[in-house]
Amino acid sequence: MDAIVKKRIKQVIKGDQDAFGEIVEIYKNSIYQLCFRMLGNRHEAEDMAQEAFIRAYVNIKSFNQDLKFSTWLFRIATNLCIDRMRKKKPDYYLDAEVAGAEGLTMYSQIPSNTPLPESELESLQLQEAVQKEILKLPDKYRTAIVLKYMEELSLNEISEILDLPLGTVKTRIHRGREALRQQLRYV
Amino acid sequence: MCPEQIIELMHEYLDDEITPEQERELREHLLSCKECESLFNELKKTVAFVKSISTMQAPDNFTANVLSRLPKEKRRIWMQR
Repeated sequence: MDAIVKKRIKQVIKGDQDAFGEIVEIYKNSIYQLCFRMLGNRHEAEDMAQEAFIRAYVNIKSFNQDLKFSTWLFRIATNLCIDRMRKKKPDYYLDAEVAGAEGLTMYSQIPSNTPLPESELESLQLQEAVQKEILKLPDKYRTAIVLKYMEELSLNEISEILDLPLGTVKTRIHRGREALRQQLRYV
Repeated sequence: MCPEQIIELMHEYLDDEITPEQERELREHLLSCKECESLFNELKKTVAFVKSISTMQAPDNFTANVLSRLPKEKRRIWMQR
């Protein structure tokens, strides 16, 4: 597959957009999945995944053709998702205390006919439960876990994508795995 | 509390980075420590759960949508930024 991708990249550089379409076909599922697992929203995931491919296209001349294209593409997508996650962070803290309402959290302000988080969790399918727990992980653990288990990448590839030392990647995966264990042990 | 060093070995195992010698050490410990054994099982279960959700497909028309958003001519994009 790498040989085909290399050939297509050369065609893209010459201005062949159809060749780029073939590259998108090869990687669309993994890039979309990466974005969905990081962001937890289908619409946003589609938007980010499209953006990743568009950036890859626009910057294709800066891609070093001696390297693995997928690593470069994953790096673009990962960075876009991390930026997006940082920007939308305030929405996440449902557990955060509301100013001036000691002891009250956002949960207690949700109308009472909304199912409680506990019973909601019971009715969720495993998939949704796992995705939910992944989304609760801090950014850096979530990124490492998604790359390792959703994309089945090696520790070395993850370290290249994130531009981090191997030891740091390992630590993040260990911590992410431990956090997920604690969250999923009773599922 | 399970020994930190044994937990480290569990992670080495899950990363496929454990040496045969380390694996023997881990197995021996697990035989004698119920707490570590259940922790190890939970970790393996967690990995299986996470892996089990790893097949997603991009929405229909994804490729066509990307292609329709590509700049027609690169220079124009550069001017816009």
